[in-house]
Amino acid sequence: MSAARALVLLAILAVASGSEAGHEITFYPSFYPQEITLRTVDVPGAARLLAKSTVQAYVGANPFARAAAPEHVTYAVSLGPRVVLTFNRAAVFRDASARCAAAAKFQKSVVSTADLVAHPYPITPYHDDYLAHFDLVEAARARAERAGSTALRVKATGRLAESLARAGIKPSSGPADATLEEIDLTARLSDRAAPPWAKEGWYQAYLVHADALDDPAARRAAEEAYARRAGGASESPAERSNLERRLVSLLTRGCERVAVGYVLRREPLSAEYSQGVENIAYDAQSGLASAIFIRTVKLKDFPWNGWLTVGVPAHAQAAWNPVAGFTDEAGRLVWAAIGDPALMPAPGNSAWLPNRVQPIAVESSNAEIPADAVLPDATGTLKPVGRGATAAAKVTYRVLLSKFHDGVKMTAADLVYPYAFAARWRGSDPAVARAGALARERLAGIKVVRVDTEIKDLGEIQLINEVALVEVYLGAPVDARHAAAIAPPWSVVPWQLTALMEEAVARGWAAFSEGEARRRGVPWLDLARDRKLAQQLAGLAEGLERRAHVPDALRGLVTVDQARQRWAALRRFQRQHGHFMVTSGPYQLGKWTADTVTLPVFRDLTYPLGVGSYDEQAIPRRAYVARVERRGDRLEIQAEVEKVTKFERSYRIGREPYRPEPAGETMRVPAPVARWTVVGPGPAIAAAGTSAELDGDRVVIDLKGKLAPGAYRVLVMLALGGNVVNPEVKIIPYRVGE
Amino acid sequence: MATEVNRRDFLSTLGVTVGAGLGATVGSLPIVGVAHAQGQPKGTIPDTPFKIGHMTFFTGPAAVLGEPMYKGQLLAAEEINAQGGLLGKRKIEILKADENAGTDANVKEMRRLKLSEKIDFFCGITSSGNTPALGPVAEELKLLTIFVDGCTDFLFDKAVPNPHYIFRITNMQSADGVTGAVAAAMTWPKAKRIAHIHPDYSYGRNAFDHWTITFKKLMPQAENVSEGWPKLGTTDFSSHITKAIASKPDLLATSVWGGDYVAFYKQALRYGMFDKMKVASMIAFGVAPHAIGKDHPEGIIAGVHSNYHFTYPGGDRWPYNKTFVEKYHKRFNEYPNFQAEGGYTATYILKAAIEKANKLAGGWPDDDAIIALLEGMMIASPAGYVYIRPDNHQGYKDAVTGFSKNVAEYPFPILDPDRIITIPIRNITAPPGWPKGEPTSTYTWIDKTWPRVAMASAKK
Repeated sequence: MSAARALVLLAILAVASGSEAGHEITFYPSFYPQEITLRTVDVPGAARLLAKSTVQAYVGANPFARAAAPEHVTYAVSLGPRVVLTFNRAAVFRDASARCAAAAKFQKSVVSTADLVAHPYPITPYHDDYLAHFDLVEAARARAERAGSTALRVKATGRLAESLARAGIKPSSGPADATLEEIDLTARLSDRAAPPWAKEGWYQAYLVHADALDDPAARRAAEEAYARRAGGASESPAERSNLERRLVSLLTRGCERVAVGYVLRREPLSAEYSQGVENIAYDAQSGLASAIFIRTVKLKDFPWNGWLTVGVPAHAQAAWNPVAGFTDEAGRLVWAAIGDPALMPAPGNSAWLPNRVQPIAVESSNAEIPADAVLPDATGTLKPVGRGATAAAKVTYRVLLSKFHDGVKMTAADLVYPYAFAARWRGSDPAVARAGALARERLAGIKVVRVDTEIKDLGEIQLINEVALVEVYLGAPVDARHAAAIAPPWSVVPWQLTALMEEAVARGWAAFSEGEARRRGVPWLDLARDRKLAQQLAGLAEGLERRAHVPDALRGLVTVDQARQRWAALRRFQRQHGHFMVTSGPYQLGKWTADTVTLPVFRDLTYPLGVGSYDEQAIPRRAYVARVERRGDRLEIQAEVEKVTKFERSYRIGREPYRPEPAGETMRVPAPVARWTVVGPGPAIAAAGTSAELDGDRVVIDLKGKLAPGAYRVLVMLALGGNVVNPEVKIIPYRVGE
Repeated sequence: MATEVNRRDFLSTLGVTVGAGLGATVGSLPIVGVAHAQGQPKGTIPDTPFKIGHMTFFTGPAAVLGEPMYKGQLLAAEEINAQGGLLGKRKIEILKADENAGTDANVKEMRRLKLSEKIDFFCGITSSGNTPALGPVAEELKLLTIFVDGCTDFLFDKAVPNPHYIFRITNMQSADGVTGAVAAAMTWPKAKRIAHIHPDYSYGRNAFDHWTITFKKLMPQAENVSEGWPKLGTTDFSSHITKAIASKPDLLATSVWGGDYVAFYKQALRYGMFDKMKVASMIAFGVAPHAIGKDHPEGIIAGVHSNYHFTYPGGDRWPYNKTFVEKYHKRFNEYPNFQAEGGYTATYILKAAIEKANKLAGGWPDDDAIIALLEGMMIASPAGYVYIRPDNHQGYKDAVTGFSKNVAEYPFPILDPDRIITIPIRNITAPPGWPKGEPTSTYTWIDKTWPRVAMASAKK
């Protein structure tokens, strides 16, 4: 198709001629609700509003924790804070073996409740790498079971104190040997500086336990193990798991801080017939405060559209800026809707779901970097890499372009500018530096190969999307599961908005991050609610339009005319909407008051994702090992799977033997995938892997050639649709003869 | 020049009926009895599975239509298989395909299903964007096909004007506009000022055109005083609602559909729109019964599209519907929509043709024998009598619409069982032999052949 024809088609996206189509338009850009309102409401208020379904979801503490919830209230249950026992360093338990013995006794005394799960190991069933530690979890449980009763003096408050009281342990009000406490990782895991493997158990164990280590040698060893694992060395799955087990062992063997359990976060949802919501996906670790929730939630009273109200417990205090703002709970939800991530955390595991950026190939061998690939220097100038450079990995992406909310089309300049920005500002704002550190450290080159026009013919409508093909070269080995999330080519905001913010910060009007704003005594940059800054930005934008300002990094990529159009569009948007928060996300920043933020949908036909795009993530299902049979070197697993039956505005989940779809059917429903870990003959993992191989209705694990003679235990679980949350693990004794 | 007539007489000639009874007339067309009946087959019947490729929307917003279509066919297949299969021997095996893949991919999948999977029969399709693309391919592949929906007039008017292998079980799109207009003319004959709100794509244009040409004949005193054309993706209908209210109409005609209609009616409630004018919708109830909320206003004409709503024909007056609804609800825990009925009826009309062909010649009939018997076939279906016209392979069943009403038995509004409006479909669609026309054959047929109600009568 010629460019001219593409433009014509773009201009008449919805061609209405004659009677060539029916009532059923089959693509609605963006996601189900036509408007999302975030409403600040305290816990008692949330209970009242959920009972009336005027709030359909509450991202906060369970308002029905102490009272019966209305029948129509259901819960999104996710991993909350970790519960740990931290020994008082000045107390009598200075010796590791004494601490460990006392800790085991204490672990035994902890009783699970509806919200608190007793669990004596840092890695939980809500972690993707649970299977690789399952034998160690069992061993920790067994140790606790064997222990006697505790005589520890423990400090505890709130629900932990209540939990202890239920176990017959009176929390100490005076001197204590240890403190029972919750460690909430939510903020650290949602921080922009969180690495792509932030959902993995070994990483979170490091966050929870590393700062409690007393022994410098142990600390050093743990740091080395962590650095090696985070460095992404290309080891086999078994080597990787053994390294992670070693790290957790180093973190916990001194028992300065021991895992006692974890809290389940229960966030209520209204499933009331008319006013409630359905089709819910949420993250196993961050719950409803996740991008996937916004992209799946559907109002029951609407096939699509409708007004969704989500309660949040506190006002949106953090500044609204896309660089280092939106850091509180309400802000994160706003950003989850108006920002559009390159990739999203998969709700039921630690991998990444493509969103606007689709990784199509990850090559781990040494690849030559094209000479015309670019890399930012310290000033942010994008310079050609030149001849002869090689990379340890290459990730090729399809990037789904669209219009920004100000009507301008996304271009290659928008995709590469964030790399320049991260390089330029790394020395000026620690939060910005941290957020971009991993990408800067690993990035070896970027090349925008081309921009294609793709047409999806839906009869009356031709959806025309521009898709950029981009190669990103990484200088260090990568774990293939996380490679695509290290430095994806993406920007949620147009380059001119980033440039406007840079000019404002450079003038000392504001700072990107809260910390830097405090340090410099300037406002935290807010693109919407800071009236004084809005006036300053409006004047600044006018001047930049007059000058047709193009940042140095984009010279050669943006013409003067294009720049002038960009600045004009941004200024027009600000005049129309009263703020500068232009993004390419599925929702727009609408109106806000002290208690509410309203986010209207962006149903622009260039937006490439549509209602229903993530439906397969909703209502996560599980698979179970019903029977395992050994045939030679193979383990054949009969699976049972959960099946969702939808009806009217509800659904039920049943469990049935797995039966594959008929051969020849292309519409595949997810088949169970086996994850397996072989432990033995000693305590280490000998082999590990996943298997999607099916033999009829059985899942096959082929161990041929993978194990030396000896006695092993094979740990097996099944994942369905990528969901590995709270799996049922089977242990199969397995011997390999001489 | 068209003659002038009295409106009451005109409506009478159209066969419009209102009430709780069955409006459908059978005339002299041959009825193949109940499609469920099956005698002893003649000759040798193979026991190989009968493979159906069923393509509909299993994902995306149109899955609200597609899933029930599949369920309808699945229910029929399960019933037939429980009796041993087609002709007591051939169990039905359904291969699903997701229509949401896009037209080009759907064409490829149809080819694959026929050439690689050797399907015996293709069924399904929701989108009118797909039937004109798939119809010619099915003809080329010599693939026996019954489209359940994809109701555009364009399919048989232009894309496949002389079909051999393809059929369609639903009514044509133009019937929505004509039915809505006839119902409104009959119900509110004194309406003079008409406002319109239609989606700005071809369904809206089609509805507007066919409403307007029908009103020109039936309600010559009426004039269009306001038009609103919300663009695709519109979620805020305020400007269209206020524009319509400002024009002080007696009646609003609308063909806004699905989630857009729900957003529209809830916004219209806030403006008190339904208190300020009568409202006739061509497709308010044309999604699924449970898709509309109890807050939907009562007493508006709520078109159902494709002429089926699960409450009609009701009770014991039409046992096929009663038992179908009961079986469907028992199996799927919800009430069937028009697509479910379409999928179910498509399967049984095929079964009826196969059985009749077997009776005539014995053994498993070839496709041409099945086609010959489908042409002109009429069966009793849950919706009433369905007739396949031999010249264009289009299924015809009488048009049904009615008035929205909340009743205690259901958590959603239904059509008022005491005020169902039915129109024999042959009286509102272009007959065999009528030349292809613009925008549709039905449009030109109404324009050129319907008499006009005399102004004197119109003012009464």
